[in-house]
Amino acid sequence: MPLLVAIMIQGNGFTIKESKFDYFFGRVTSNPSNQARSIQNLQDLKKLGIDEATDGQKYLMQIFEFGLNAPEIKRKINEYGTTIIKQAEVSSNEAKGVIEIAYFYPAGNLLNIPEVTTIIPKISNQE
Amino acid sequence: MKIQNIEKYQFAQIEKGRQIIVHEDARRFALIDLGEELGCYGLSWRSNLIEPTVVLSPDKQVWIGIDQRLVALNLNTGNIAVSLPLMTNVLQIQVAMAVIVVLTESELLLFNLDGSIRFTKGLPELALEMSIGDCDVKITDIEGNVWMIDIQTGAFKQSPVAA
Repeated sequence: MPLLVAIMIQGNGFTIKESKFDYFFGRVTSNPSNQARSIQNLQDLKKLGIDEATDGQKYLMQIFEFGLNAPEIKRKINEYGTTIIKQAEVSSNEAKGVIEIAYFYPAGNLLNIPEVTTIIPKISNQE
Repeated sequence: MKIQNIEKYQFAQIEKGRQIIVHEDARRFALIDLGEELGCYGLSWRSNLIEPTVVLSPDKQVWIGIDQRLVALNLNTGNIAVSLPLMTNVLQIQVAMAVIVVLTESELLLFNLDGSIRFTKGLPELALEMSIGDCDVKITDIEGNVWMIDIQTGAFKQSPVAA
C-alpha cells in the first residue's frame, strides 16, 4: 500500500499538514492516551484563547507566523533535517502561557520554508 | 508501586533529591511509593489529563515518563540511572528483548538495561503509538503511515505503508 499523502496548508513563511489540527484540537482518538493528549492540547489552547469554534485555526496560523521570529529554545538535528523549537508568548483573559512551536527544515537547510510539525501549549502558573 | 496524587505544597516539602520529575508550571503533583527501603519520590507535571507511564524493567529499574521528562531509578540502590528532558511529550515506554523502548511524539529512544543509550531515532512524522515485534518496533504516525524500525540496528526496515 502506498504512503498516504498529507494535505499541506501554506502559511505565511511556513507550511503545516492539515492533520496536525486534529491533534491540536482534540480530534485524535486512535487510543486512550493519544485521545487524552489531543484533548489536553484542545483544553490548554482554549485556556490561551485559541478556540477552534471562534477562528482558532486562523489564530494559530498567525501565532506560527509570529513564532518564526520568536526566541529559539531548542534544536534537534537528525537524518531528515533540523527542527528548531521556538517559544511564542500567548495570553487570554483566562490564562497566560507560551506555545512551543516545532519548525522543521528539510535537509537542514535553514533557508527553506519550514514545516510546523507540532506544538506544546504551556499554561503559566503565575498570575 | 502506587502513585498517589498530592497537593503542590506537599510536593514542595519533599527533599529536592527525591523530586525525580519536575516540570515548570506544573499542575499535577504525585508521590510514587517504591517500598519500605526506598520510600517515596515526588513527581510534578503540567498535563492535568495525563497520567505518568510507569514500567518495571527486568533488572529492577523503574522507568517513569510524563510530559517532557523521563527518569529511570534503580530499585536495588535507589540511584537515578537516567534523567532526561525531552523535546516532545512521552507517549509510551515498553520493555523488549533487553532494551527499554521509549516513544515520544518526535523520537524513538532505545536504552540498554543499565540505562545507557543504545540509539535515538528522529521520526519523520508525529508519532501516535508503537507496538514491539520480535525484532522491530512498529510506529504509527498521525498520517496513518506505519514505520518499522529494527531494534538491533536502528534502521528503518521498510518504506512506510498506510495503516
